[in-house]
Amino acid sequence: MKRINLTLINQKKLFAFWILFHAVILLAFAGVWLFAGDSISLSADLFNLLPKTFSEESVNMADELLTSGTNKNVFILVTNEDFSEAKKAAEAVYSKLSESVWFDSLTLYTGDDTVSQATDFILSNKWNLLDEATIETVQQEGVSYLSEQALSRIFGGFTLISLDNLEEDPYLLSEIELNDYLEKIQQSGVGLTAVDGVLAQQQEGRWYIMLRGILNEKGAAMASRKNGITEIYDVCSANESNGTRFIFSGTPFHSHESSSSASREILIISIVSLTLMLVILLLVFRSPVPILCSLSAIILSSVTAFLGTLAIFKSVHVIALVFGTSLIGSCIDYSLHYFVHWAGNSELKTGLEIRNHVFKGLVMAIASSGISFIVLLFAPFALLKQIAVFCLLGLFSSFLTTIAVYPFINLPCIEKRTLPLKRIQLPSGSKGIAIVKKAIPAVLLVFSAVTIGLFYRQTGVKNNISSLYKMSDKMLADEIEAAKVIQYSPTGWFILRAGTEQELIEKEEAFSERYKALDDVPGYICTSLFIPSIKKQQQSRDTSRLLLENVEEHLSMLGFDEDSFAISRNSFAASESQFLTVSNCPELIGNVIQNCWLGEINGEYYSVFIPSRITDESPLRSLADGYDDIFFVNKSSDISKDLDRLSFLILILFGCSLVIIFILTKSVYSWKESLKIISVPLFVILMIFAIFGMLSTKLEFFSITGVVLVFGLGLDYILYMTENTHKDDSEGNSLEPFAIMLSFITSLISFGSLSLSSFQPVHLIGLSICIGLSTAYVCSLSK
Amino acid sequence: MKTRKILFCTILFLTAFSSLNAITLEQITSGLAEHKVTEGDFTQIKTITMSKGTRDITSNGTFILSTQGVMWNTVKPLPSKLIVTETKLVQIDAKNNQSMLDGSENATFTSISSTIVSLFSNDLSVLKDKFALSFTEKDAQTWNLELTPKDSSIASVISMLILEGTCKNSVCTLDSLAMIEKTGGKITYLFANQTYSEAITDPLMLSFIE
Repeated sequence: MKRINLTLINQKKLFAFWILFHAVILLAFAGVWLFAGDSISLSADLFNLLPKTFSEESVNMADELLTSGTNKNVFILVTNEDFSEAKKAAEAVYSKLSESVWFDSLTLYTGDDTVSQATDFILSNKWNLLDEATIETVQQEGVSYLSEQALSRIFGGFTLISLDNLEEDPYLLSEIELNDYLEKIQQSGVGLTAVDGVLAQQQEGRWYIMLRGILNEKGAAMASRKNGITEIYDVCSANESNGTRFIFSGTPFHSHESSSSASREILIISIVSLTLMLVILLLVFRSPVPILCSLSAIILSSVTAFLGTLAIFKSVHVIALVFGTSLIGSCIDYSLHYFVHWAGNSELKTGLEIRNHVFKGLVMAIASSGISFIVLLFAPFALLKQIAVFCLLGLFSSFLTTIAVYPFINLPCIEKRTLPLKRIQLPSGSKGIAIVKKAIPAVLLVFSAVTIGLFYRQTGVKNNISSLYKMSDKMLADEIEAAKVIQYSPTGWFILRAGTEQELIEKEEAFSERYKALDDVPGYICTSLFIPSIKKQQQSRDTSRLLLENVEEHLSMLGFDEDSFAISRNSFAASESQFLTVSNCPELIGNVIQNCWLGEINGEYYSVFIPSRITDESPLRSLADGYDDIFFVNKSSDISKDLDRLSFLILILFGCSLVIIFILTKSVYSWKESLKIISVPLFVILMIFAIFGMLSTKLEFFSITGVVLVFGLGLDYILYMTENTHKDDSEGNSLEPFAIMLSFITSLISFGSLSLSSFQPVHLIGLSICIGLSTAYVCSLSK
Repeated sequence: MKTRKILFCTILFLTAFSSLNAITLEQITSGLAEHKVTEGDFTQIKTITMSKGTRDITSNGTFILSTQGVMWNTVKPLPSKLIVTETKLVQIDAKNNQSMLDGSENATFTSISSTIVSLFSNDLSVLKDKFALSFTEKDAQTWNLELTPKDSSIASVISMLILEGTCKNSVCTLDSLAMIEKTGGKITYLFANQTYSEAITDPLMLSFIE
């Protein structure tokens, strides 16, 4: 690489470029805000930051359609030992929340006409809804068998349906079908049933009444202070009396909890980091100028990064913002390197000289950091791209501010250009210290090798998405209790696809048979349970036709005459070409299957087959194997596997960055220096693996992302030290280690605070960066 | 004056006598409660509405009523059995084919079945808990009790139950039960030849009682 004549870089042009850069970002954001302001948002949804499950776009769309609906479902169980107290509280909550603007729908009452709706539906479609067992019975035992059974019930003690329709339904087919539907609903898993007009269940002496709501977009926006969840909590807490308790279940409650704590923690982390920086800068520089300039640079770089990311992606995830707090540590590095010389290097007389002195080191630093973030842009994962763009823009803004703006700041007078605290650094010069410094790489190597060897079982890369979110005790207790009552806790499901609606329902029916053939499987719910295929409905009609051929003999037993015989036949004939489909089903059935039928997406039809709970998923996965149009989804394990894939991809990209950086450093430095520089990231990786292994924590996606961040930051130290050895000025040489130490301390403060977060992904990133930075700093001391 | 006195005393006497012998709901329920298990014959009349008016479908058989459950054993014209307990509804046809609805984890079913069983619990507090009661005395020995289910889910199917009976010499019996369906249909049970015992002995019924 040719040596750049730094004196030729015009300071005014640099300054103009600094203005241009920030103006472009601002204008880009303003443009996006003007034309697409509604789509700009801050996201805190945990599921939004996870990679897509399927390679096929339309299947992803189907999956997203399903989860976007279910992710807004909230369940509130009102519980009391006394049913009337529980119902009173449920009605009070329902009455209040019905007026809310945060809900698309809210349900408490089952509706007194639900039973009559169900019987009317079955009566209207009775010829089409016979189940397979009944059809088989008629085929094997004959019409007389069914006739006798019907007569037994007519003359016997109890029928589910009214006998007023006997002329139209002489064989009580609607009674058989209603029984069948009730059994299906019971087996599909939902544990609550209609009691006194509400959905309720009694367990262990307590009554549970369910309210179910679906939040709208605004109600589900957890980043807002006021949303559907905060309103639910407010209303319910006002009704907790006379032994009534509330149990909350549903994804929005967890999103709210993680979002609230993440937002609080970001604020605390930012405040604590900034405060500590302030204190350190005051102690070191004893002048407001470096502090004000550094703070301004941090604020400018944060705002630039935020606006730029929003302009490109329109939505920023709160995790990307958390990374933004880490920018505080990175940005201040550049300011520190400049101001350490500004305040303490009397050999440099002007701002321009200081700029030239630190320029190459800063360029190498931002190049190495930039390469590590650019590499993240190639990851097929929106969150990583956001983080990469956020950090790139922020770092570049800070770099520009350092080289374009700071040189214009007047230097202090010569007498004040000392740094008293510069004495606080590791001593150098003695033979012993030199030996220790040389031994550092060997010590690190031995330590990491021994530790990895001892803890090899706990060492490795493995993602488990469910470990990334730790529920609070109350939330966990609520979910356990809700699962016992509702008895419907699907953790996985099947997505089915076909070219037409009927093909899809037939596919579901065939799939249901294969599912039921497995051992010990729980109930399930799917569309074809309630809306059979036209093929099946035709079989039912064929059986009904057979029955109607003998209706005279049957009705004669009841003393009916010829006029009565014709009524059922006419009813059958009138429904000749009428078949039940998803599009013409009544609202009652539509409500039952709303989570199961996804409809048409990109010219194909999709539906969901949902087992009520899953204990062992491997036989279920194998059901979908070998079928192009059947997909098993277990969000937790699928995403964990995808994150495994991504983690290894990042490590590969990390390896590529190493190669690129080695080529870059080789063009500037000698072989020995280049190898020393490139060994730092390798030691960082080894130490992170070793210490995580000691903590019995496998590396996963977020801790590996932290490795990428520390890659750029950690290289800065060894680069500055390498540059320092090439410089002649004695004062600058002694200042550089001090500046590096300051950089390390400030970075440790900002990343160290991340490791204290209760939000697991942030905690793991913080921990991995802390270990990496410490290793990188220790390695830089060996130079 | 004398006539008036006699008339006044007569009215006073008759009023006192009639109030002494008036039947109360508490008397009925405590009288019926003495019968832990009631067995007897029944005639069931299902009144259905058809295109040409109403028609009665009649069947006969025997019954068992107790606080643990009820059994209708239909004998004519087609034999069948219906057993209802707190948690089960069992139907057995003429060929001994059995179908059972197990509502042990189904609150709606438990509510319906316990409503039916509570009719015969003869426990006033249980009746008041599940029904709105309207009691009338037809004459000195005959009573009528209308029960309207309080649970709206049940009321959407059965709008009213009417019990009629007699009390003679402080022995009270249940003579009929009418079930009025929400759709307007009616089922009437006429009871006769009641006998009473302390426990259920029918082995079939015992097999379904937990």
